[in-house]
Formats: sequence, C-alpha cells, structure tokens
Amino acid sequence: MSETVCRRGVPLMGTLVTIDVVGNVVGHGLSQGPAQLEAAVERAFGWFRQIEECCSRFEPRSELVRLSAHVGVPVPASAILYEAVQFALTVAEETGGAFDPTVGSAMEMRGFNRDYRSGRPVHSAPEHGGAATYRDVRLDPHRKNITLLRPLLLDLGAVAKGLAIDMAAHELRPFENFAINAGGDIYVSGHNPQGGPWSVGIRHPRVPDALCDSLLVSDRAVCTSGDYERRCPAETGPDAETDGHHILDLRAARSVSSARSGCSAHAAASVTVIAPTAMLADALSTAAFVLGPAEGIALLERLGVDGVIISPTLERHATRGMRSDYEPSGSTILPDAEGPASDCPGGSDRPGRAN
Amino acid sequence: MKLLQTAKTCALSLAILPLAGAALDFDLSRWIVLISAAAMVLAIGIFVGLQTIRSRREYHPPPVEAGAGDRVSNRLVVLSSVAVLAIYSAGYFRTRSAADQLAERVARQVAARTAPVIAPAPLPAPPAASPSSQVPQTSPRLRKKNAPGDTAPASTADSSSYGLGTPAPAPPSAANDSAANDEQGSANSFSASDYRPGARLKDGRYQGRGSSPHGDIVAEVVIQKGQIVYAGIADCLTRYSCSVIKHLPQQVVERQSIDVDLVSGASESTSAFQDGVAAALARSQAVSRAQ
Repeated sequence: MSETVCRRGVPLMGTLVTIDVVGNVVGHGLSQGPAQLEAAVERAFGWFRQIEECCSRFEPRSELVRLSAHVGVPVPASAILYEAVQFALTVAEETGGAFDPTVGSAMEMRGFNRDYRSGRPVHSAPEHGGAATYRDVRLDPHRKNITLLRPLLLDLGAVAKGLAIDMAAHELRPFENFAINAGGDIYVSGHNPQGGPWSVGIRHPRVPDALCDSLLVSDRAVCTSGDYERRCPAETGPDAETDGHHILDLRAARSVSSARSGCSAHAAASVTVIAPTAMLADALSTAAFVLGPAEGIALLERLGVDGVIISPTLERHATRGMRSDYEPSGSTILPDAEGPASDCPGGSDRPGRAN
Repeated sequence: MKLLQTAKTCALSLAILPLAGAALDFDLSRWIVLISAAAMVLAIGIFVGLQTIRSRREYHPPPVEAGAGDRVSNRLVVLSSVAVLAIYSAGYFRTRSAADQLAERVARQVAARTAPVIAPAPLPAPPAASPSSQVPQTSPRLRKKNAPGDTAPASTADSSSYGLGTPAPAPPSAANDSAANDEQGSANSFSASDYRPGARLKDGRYQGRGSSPHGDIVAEVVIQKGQIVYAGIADCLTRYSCSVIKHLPQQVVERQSIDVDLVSGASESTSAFQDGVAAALARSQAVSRAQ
C-alpha cells in the first residue's frame, strides 16, 4: 500500500497544473529524499513557466511573438522554441496540414486574442498573416535557426502544454510513480496510491461533469481535445453543436475562402489520444479532431498510438488496441460506431464551415 | 527459409544426377532421360520458389496482440522524446546567455580578489551579541542551530528558502522597511555586471538572480550599517539540489565579498549564486547612489 507523498497544484498556462507523487512510506519507496522531491516538483513547475514564457502568443516579449517580427531571415531559436516548432511541423507533414502550427493569425481573427491572465486583448499577428501554411516555415537543424518565409504567427498551443508535461515528467522520473495533470492533459507513471494503474476518465462532450469513458493507464500520456472548450466569440450558431470553438480546420477554409481565416472543425466532438509522450498525444488529438473519425482513427493506427474519437452524434470510434490495453470491460457508456468509421455522420467527409 | 531449402534440394539433385549417369556409363538415350529428369526437378524448384516469393509479397502481419508498449513505434515518438532530451540538455531558455557571461564573470572575480572588501570597517559582531533592536524576531532556537561562524540572525519571515543558509532578519529599522519591501520581487532588476566591488551599500534586504545552464538561483542579502549581515538562497530553481552550495552564503558574510570558494561538481551553481549575490549587492549600491 502506497500513499501520495506530494500533491501540489499551481495555476499555469491558463489552467491548473497538479502534480501527484506516490511513494511507499513503509518501504521507503521514494528513491530520493523529501528535499529532492520538493526540488524536483519545483523544477517540474518551472518548466511550465519557462515554456509558457517562450511559446505564448499572448506575451509580446515571448520568443514566439518576437520570431514573427522577422520574416525572411534566419532567427536563432532557443532549444524550447526550436524543438516545439520542429515537432509541430513534423506533425503537420504527417497529417497533410490538418494540424498546422501557423494557425495563430486565424485564431486571433476569430477572437482568441485575450491574455487569460490579464483579460486584455492582444494583437501579435502580422498583417496578411492568415495566408501562410506550415510550409512557410523553414528550420536549420545545424544552426537551430527558424526562418519564416512570409508573415505569419505560430500557435504552439497544441504542443506547448504537452511539451511542458513531458519536461515535468522527465524531472520526476526518479520518483517512478507520479501523475501530472494540466487541465485534462495528463501523464501518469508507475502506479497509483492503491498500487494499480492510474484511472483516467474521459469527459462526456455534451454532459458537463460526466464521464463517457474510463481508462486504466500507466507510463502513458492521455490528452483530449474537445469542442466544449474555449468557445469562439466570433462564430456562433443556432445550437451548441455548430458553435465555434478553438480547434480550427484551415484546410476547409482554404477551399472555401481565400481569406483563410479558418473555421472550427466539426468532424468530432472530442478526441482522446494515448501516447508515450504528452506532446505527441496533445498534437495528435488536435489533428485527429480536425480529420474526423475515419481519417483520425486511420492516422492513429498508422502512427501506432491509441485513441477514442467521439463523433458529434456521440458515436464512439476507437483504435483496435483501446479496449484490450486500456479499457476495463464496460467502462464506456457511449455506443461503438457500427461499420467503418467513414459511414458515420459527422465523419471527415463533412465539409468544413467557412467563417 | 522454405525457399532456401528448395533451392538446396534442386542444386543437389542437379549435381547428383550427372554423377550418377557418368558412373553408370549411360548411353545417349539414357542421358536424355536423365537430363530431362534434372530439368523437371529444376522446373519444380523454380515453381516452388516463385510461389514462396509471391506468398511472401502478399503477407500481411497479423494484428499485434502484445501490450500497448509494443505497438508504439514511429518517428514522432522518437522526435518528441529527443525534443525533451535536447531541451533538458540545453537548460533553461532563459539561461542560454550564461555561457556568454562566463568571460565577464571571470574578470569580475579577478577584480573582486584584488579589490578591498566591501567596507573597510571590521566585521560586525555576531547577531547574538548585537542589540536586539537591530535583529528583531530573532529565534533563540534557530540561532542555536547556526554554525559558529554564521552571523545571520534567524527569522521565520523567509518561507521561500529551501532551508539552506539561514532565514533573513527583518530590516534593521522602520525606515528600511519600505526599501526592503521594494526589493521583494525585484530580483531581475539588476544583473551581476552592475556590481561594483567596494562601492557603498545601503542598508536593507535585497535579492538578485543568477543564472546557469541548469537553472537560476535567487540570492538574498541583508545589509546593516553597510555590512553584509546575512546571505542566503531565497529560491533554488536549478534542476540540481542547492544543498551542495549551502555553505557558500556563510562565506559571503564572513568575507564580506562575493568571492566564495568554488565547489567541485557544482561550479555552475556556485557561479549562479555568486551572480545572484552580486546582483543583490548591485541593487543595494544603486539605492545608495540614488540617495
């Protein structure tokens, strides 16, 4: 029997970040002492601050915003920014642009331009920044330079929090059993206080405070993207399902509008991805959300990670390994989709709605 | 494997049949029969081989039934893991300029060694012998735990320290209260390069931040009558524990200087602490110049 020896929560990155470390008091399960644990937890929180300071598009002095001021010239980047951008661009290539880190300008145009700390509107996007794609960003792996080929504003919101979780997990690795929860993006390691795998619930996309699934996970990150978070003030519809939200599908907008201001993806209600790293799970949950059940599940299967996609009609699409590896029998309350995922309503064939 | 065995069988048959024919002194008709048989064996071998190759091309790996950890293998996993290690190796972004400050720091250390101590006056008496008005909130229990040379009076005011060094005393007078309060959170205002050895120090409590590739250290000093009566680590943000340099604050007080001993295996943390103390003292000097 173990017990939680450390539980701390700090508001960071616009959410509450909590860290739980589990040890075995009787058997001295912690490989290091309380002082080392306290220092490691402090460093773990420090990574969230550092990465937010570097990658925030709401902070005018952040490295990310300063990068957008230099177009056409190589800009030396810190390790945090370079690695985050490199990973985001790689995911963009893997997903054919469904995931696109150059979405910053479109996000600003749609009203996601308020600093969550001060509530004040910020304007960081360059003029005509909405026409760029991820192909307009070049990386120099030798000099660690980033070059923007045209005016654009990067948005690393879909990878930065995951990266921070991974860095925090790296700091806590000597303690073996811990859980990091950053507003629903979770990494769990080892066992829980009861000695078993950690139980991670998936929020019901339409019923607040209700879970639609429960997973048993260990040494994995679980990240969820849902249309119920961060509603868009610039795009509202007659019902909740068509209201705008923070996950944009730039591909659909590209085919409809030359302005490329983006439109909210409506192919899914929520996507949960289980992956070895939080940055990967975070990015792929966003990408699969844009792609929808058919292409999304295919993407996750191709990349060898597991996930669950809840369609707008509340049908459940899961990868093959979900139930056998993570789900205790009967843990989900939503019906599985019948037949191939492409047949379900709200699939990826559903056209995106232009702004 | 099956293809290889078939090829071996065919080759062996083709080699044995002519030898058998030669040994039995066959005539032409029998040689024709023998060669025909060898050709048939070769044809059968080629047919079997082609079937094997075709079936191999059409082979689909069955779904892996092993645990989830065996299913995950792609370059994105590798890339994200490498990113963590790369960032961890590079240290905090904020401290990337630490290497650039190395030459400046070395020069400053040399200057500090040759310069007189901060104040020519003799070291102040230990706080235990000081008037209580100068060291309010002193805790006898904590004072008893201090090392003999530790001149810092104890206080419970500093809750952010990592238990290293000793807690800072309250400012010596009400006039300094406002100044001390002003210093809270101003650790980033001055850098170590602003420090001028020998310059006059203003009484009060000051903090300064020093950087290293492994993270920052926020040092705190308390000045009374122009002397450093306390030095400590207010915040240890390095990825390594600051316990290895916990004796350095005492040296700052004893020597009235930032010129502390280098700690083997913790040279970066030592330098970060020195920079933090220097930045705090620079703040004190700036306040003194302003008045």
